[in-house]
Amino acid sequence: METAAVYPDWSGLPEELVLMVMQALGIPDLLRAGAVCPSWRTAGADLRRARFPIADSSPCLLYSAADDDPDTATVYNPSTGAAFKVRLPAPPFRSRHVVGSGHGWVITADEESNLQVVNPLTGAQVNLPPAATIHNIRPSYDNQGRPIYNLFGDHASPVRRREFRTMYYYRAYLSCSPSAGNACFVLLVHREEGQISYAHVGDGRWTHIRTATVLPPGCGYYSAAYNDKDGLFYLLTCDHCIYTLDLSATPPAVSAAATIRKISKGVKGMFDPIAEATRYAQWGDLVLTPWGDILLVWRDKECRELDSPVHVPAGFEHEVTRPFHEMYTQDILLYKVGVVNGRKKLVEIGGTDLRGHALFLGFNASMCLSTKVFPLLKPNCAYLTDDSWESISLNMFGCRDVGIWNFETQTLEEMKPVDAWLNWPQPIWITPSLLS
Amino acid sequence: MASAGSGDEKAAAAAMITLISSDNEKFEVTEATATLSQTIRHMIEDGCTDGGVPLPNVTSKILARVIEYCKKHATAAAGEEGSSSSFSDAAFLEVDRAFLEELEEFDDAFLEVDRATLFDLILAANYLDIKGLLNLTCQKVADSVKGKTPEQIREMYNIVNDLTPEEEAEIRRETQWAFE
Repeated sequence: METAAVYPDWSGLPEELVLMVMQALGIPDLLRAGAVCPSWRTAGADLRRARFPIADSSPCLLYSAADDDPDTATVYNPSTGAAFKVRLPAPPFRSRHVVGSGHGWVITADEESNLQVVNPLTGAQVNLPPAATIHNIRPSYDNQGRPIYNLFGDHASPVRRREFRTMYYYRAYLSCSPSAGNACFVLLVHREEGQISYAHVGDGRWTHIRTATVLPPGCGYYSAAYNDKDGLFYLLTCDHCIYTLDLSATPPAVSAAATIRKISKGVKGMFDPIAEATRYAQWGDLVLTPWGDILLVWRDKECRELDSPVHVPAGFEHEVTRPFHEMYTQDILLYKVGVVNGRKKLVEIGGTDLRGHALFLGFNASMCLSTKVFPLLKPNCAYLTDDSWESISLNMFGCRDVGIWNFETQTLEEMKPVDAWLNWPQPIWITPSLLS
Repeated sequence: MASAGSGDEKAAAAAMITLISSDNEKFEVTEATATLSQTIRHMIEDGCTDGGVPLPNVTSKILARVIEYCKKHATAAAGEEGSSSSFSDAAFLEVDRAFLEELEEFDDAFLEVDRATLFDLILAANYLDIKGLLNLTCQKVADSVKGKTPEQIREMYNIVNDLTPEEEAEIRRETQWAFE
């Protein structure tokens, strides 16, 4: 038996040996071990600066860089210019389609079009229910024996399994960090015509929310935002109305009883639905501000036709229908839900009405962050990544719509990380978190 | 393994090295075993091992363990040399694989020590410059702190928390965001 007296003081381990121990640790363990004592802290801080050079939870761009292997992703902070690499668990990051992010986690679709949530910093990953459990999808095989999904709308249309993900999923949203397990639910906005389904983390299948009695025919949802203050999802429809969805009011097993309440009438005369239907990707985002406003951010996009088509890797020819086609943001309009003559309406506002906040928009859960809390962020600006499933579906290897929109100058400022991003998977904003 | 063993014995007859622990205990080992330590290898190369190699930083208790590790791994190294020179058939690879598994089991069992011994083994592996043993022992510590809170790590490794309240506050500020 050893006695307490002969136990050595491990804080006396020479620093180079503490470094050796810590090199074998993942990021969360490294941070915890760095809080043990002064000498461990010094070693931990050295390693942290090298491996993890960000100091707060201001959003970072997560993307794949050409020089890295397919499992590795770059995390780039546009405020400080700092970047570091993370390694994701299988399947390779570069083989995934990115359909949402929130709380430091990313929602991706693999080559079978099945969804999973992954924390790129910790490597934690949870599979969401299989695509085949969504109400209008049936797995099948085409006449050459290749696996496909049949999508049932007005008629059944067969789509190859890998291709399915860019055509079917609009966006996915999280109610909280998936580290909360079953308490976290995922809202999926998908075809046909903006339907919604949800699942708790750990569920075996997606539950479809029937909304045909609520919405006008042919009108669906296309984006959402979760409000953790009231526990409601806010939903935007293609006729520019905003609804709330209360999933907690329903036992999760009962799909039809989710309550949806219209809270704002659309802006009359703002859009001509028929004209809009002929254009691409003219959809907006909902943003919930810290001061309680509900904003509709409308990205006005133009399509540019390239002189020469984008390079499409072998095997993907079938998935790129418009290799000359690139979407870019040419203007951003801001609206807020206001009260006009006692009724809730969408009212146009300007960039300075963001009260010095910065917006983060794209496939991520939209964010509105105070530049007082994050002084390196540019006030009254919108940090953009692509937000259009259509633009990716038509040309997954096309140039992505990424930059910082300045409302004052009405221009898109460039971001230039040392390692440029690949256009696929599309770069997405994440708020780095070590909760796994 | 028989052939590798007899080769080892022949080498042993040719060159034995005496290692002397801090408490003056003498250990006779083969040169193949001793030269897993880069420190000792350099001493042999410099021709300064006559009359034994004094190791004032290593106790007899720890030196015995280190030698146990080196003996096993020296045999492994000899086995590997044999395999690359003359054998490459499936049967030999099978034996090789079995031996590597055995080596892994040995390493696992070797690491079943109290934390004071582990600490001394790390220091000895570092001083003697035995890369394999240093990696093995450091990995053991890393594995043991995975998923632990700073408080649990301190308790496990008998570390007094002498961070000042200011330092603690700073660490919280630096890292808390990441766990929120």
